[in-house]
Amino acid sequence: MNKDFDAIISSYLEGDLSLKEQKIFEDYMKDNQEFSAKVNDIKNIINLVNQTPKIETSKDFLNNLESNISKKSILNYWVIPNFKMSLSFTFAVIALFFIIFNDYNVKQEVVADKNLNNQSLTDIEADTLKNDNFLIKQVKGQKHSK
Amino acid sequence: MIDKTDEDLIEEFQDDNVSAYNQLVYRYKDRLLNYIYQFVHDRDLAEDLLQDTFLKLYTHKHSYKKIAKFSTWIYTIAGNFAKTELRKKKRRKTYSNSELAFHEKELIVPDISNEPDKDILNHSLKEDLKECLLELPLDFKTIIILRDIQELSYDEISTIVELPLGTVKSRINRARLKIYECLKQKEVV
Repeated sequence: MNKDFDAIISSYLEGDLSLKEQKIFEDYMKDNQEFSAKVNDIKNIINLVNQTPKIETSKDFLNNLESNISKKSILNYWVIPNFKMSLSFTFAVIALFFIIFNDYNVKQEVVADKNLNNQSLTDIEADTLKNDNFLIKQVKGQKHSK
Repeated sequence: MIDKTDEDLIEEFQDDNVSAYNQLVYRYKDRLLNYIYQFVHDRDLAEDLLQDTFLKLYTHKHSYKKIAKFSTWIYTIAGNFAKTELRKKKRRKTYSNSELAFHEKELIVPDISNEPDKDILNHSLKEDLKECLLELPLDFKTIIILRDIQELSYDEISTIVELPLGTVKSRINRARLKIYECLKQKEVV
């Protein structure tokens, strides 16, 4: 029972209980002096906690804040955009390099293909000539045997 | 002239009115300093963390959405900085305690012999209360600071600590009972 009343001490002290609940609570306090003292002590504790000495910011606080904001602003409006700009520039240079390099490679491949084709034609011509030469030799051989 | 609400000011600041920012800083600097101080118990450190809080307000002004009260938003930021620092402090403390075991340093007891009797009693009670507050689990401590020192409403506390209203009310009561039990053990009440 006491635990139930313990759970609503703050509600009683802050006026959160209904009239009926408040009456029951106060009747219980009347019958139980120890509990009544406890409620009174908690009320004093709340006041004591509330009277905790308050401190104020130092005289330099606002100047320091202003200076910190300036530093932050410099970082936000100067360093970071410059960094972003340099990053974009680097990216653009890399992209351009790849485009040019890729284009160069394509051209090289075309030239290589052409060379290969030319080489093939030369080989075919050489083979034809070899065949012709072989036929001539054969004809000459036949003539000699006759 | 009717004072502008915090929400009006943050809206103006979001539209790049720096004067609105300054007004918000004036409104909140001392109460937030006291809030942070209750966690870290170091004035200079509390001021540094308050600087961080206001810097975050400056750089993240658009993170604030009108659906919440400005006070709950700024208290959440300050509380997060304070709790992060508290966790760091605890880690450092664990480390230095293990060092203490090696060096067996002496405990320094404050000398209060010149203070009048009443002040000694008052001083002792305040110190006991401070110790009891320090002994509270972080969740309970946050709520008791917000309610009994900062005097915020239950609704505001509920938003800041992201707990239902009923849970907040019950935790405040339990926190007060814990302080009561702690002071009773020290034979103060």
